Formats: sequence, structure tokens, C-alpha cells
Amino acid sequence: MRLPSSRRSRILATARNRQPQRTDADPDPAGLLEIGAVARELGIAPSTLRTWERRYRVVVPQRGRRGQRLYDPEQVATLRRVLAQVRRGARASAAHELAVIPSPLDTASVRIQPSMQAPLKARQTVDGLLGELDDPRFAFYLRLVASELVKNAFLHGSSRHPIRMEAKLFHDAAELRVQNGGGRLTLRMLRRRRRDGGRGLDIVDALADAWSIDTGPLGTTITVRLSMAHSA
Amino acid sequence: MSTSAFGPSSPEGRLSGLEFKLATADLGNGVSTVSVAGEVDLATAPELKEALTEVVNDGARGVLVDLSNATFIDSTTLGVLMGAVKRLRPTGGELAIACNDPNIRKIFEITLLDRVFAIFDTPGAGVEHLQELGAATADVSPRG
Repeated sequence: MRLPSSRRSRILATARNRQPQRTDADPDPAGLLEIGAVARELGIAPSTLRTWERRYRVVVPQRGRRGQRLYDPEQVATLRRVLAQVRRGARASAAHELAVIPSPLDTASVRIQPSMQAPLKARQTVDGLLGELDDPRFAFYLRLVASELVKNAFLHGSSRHPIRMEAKLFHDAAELRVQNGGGRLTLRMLRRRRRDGGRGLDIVDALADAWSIDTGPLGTTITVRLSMAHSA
Repeated sequence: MSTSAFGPSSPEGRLSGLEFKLATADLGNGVSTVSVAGEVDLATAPELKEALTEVVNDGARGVLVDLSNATFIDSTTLGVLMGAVKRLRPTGGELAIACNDPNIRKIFEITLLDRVFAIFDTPGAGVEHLQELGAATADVSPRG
């Protein structure tokens, strides 16, 4: 007996739906996203991503079994930085150059209990990160900045939440990120409190290549970048 | 001249890989030295503050803080040194620093405190400066 075509279609459709989905089409456990998902997340057309890949080759996604593009979270983050630059008016080619962030040689991440010992723990973490690096001046400044940032976090942040410090070492620079819980802190407030006459921030400001403060009701994060050339 | 050798460090100092130690010496003629070894930070600076307060209360008008053996100082240390300056100045006293570590000296330069303290490469030069200053002050001070 031959089924009416509409009935056949429904059965085939049901059978297709029952087939196990291809694993490479699933959301990947490593967080890989297909081009459509990335485009939706960034609010741009998939064709733009393909063009950027072809022209600039900065973000080259891996391919799935069907040949589909699969972007890892780091690549999505890079694309987001590119897009931010483009939306500020940068040309896409220049934006790609700006978006490239080298991978760190080493990273240290610690949770430090808020106490008088916190700055010492910060310096010890930097010591561990630097290892045998033979640049005493850079090491001194990096220890000093880490110590000052964590001291600020202890003095001005919440005493109930641990201070988080992440230190990344690059071949010619280092980046420190210190986060504390507690209320919103601004630069003006940090300076106004002037427990050390505001000199801790002056030191950080003088030694850093760049730094930023991100503060909100749940806490404050200060990120500082120091280059070896700057400390020479 | 009386001296107090590097005493037992605080529990905080012992935690450091570079042990914090303090020593004070009364060189006479109103000149005292406070010598620091190791790392001075939030945890150990209170001991430095206490030592400086003590020598000033004991009558020192010229105080040399010898950082020749210090391996690290921070903004808290600077605050302690500034506090000692404020206690010394009303009596015409002076605080000088001995330091030959370019990294530590840079901290004074960054914060412009190299304009507040006289900084010397060696403790001997600092003591000499303070003794000369003490003699000069004694020459012009009212007598009787």
C-alpha cells in the first residue's frame, strides 16, 4: 500500500527527528560556536565574519566534520574587540591588528584573605610567576604594584570577601588584575581617603603603561599593565 | 652611643622571605639612626613607626633612616617617614635617608619625596650631614 504523499512526508520528518543529532552540530563542550551563533551574538552578518577571515586572517576558526566554521571563546572575544574598534570608527584592517593579544607565557591566579599579610602574599605570587626572570628592576616594580593594589583592596574593600589577584607574564610585559568585593570605589574616593596620602596610586600610575578601574556595587577590579621597556 | 641591635622580628616579618629587622643607635649630639633590613610594608611598617617615635621622643633631632639593607618599601613606609618628619620639624629636626638601591630611590622620586628628605648613598654621609646640621643649629640656638 502506498501512503499518500503528505503522510509519507510526516513519517520521514518524524524519522529524521528521531535520528541522533550529529555530535558536531551540538553545542560543543569546549564552547565552540558555529558562525550563525557567533554572528547573532555579535550582531553582525555571517558574511562579515567570513570576509574578515578571508582578508585579515586574524581569527581563523577550526572546521567541524561538515566543514562548518567553529569558533572558540577566545576567538569570539577577539572578534568582539575587533567589532568594538570598528564601531568606534577604526578600519577593519587596523582593528584586527589592535585586537591581537599575545598569549601569556605564564599565569598565576590566587585568592588572598583580606589581612595585613595580603600585600606580602601578592608579592610572593609575583615571585612565583617571575621565576628565574633576570630583570631585577622589572621584578621590583611588578612586586611593588601588586603589593600596592592588594593593599588598596584590603584597606578599601570588603573584609568578608577574598581578594582575587591574577598575574600574567608576557615576553615583554606583565598584567595584574586585582579584584575585591565591597561597594563601589572610584579613583576620587581612593584618593580622598588618602591613607598614605594617595601615594600608592601615584606609584602605580607612574610605573604602569596603562591601567583601568572597573567598579560597581559588587566590587572593584583594577587592571594594570607594566612593560619591561617602561621599567628600564 | 647606645645601640639596639636588629631585634627579633615580628611574626609578620618572619613570614617574609626577606626578614624584616630593625636596629636603632643613638650616636650622640641629638643624632640617631634607625636601620632597616628586609621588606617594609603594611604589616611591618608599624614597627618602623614605633622605632622612629621612640628615637624622637628620646630627644633625637637628626634621624637617619638607613635603608641600605632594605629590599622593599611601599607607600605605607613613605607615610611612616612623613609622619616622623612632621614630628621632627617643629623642633627644627631633620630626617635623612641612606639608600643606594636605585629601585627604592625611584619610589622617592616618583612621589616627589626626594624633595622632602635628604637622601644619601651611604649611612656615613647621612650621619655627617645630620651632625653638621646639629652643630649649625646649636651655633645659632639661644643659649643660657
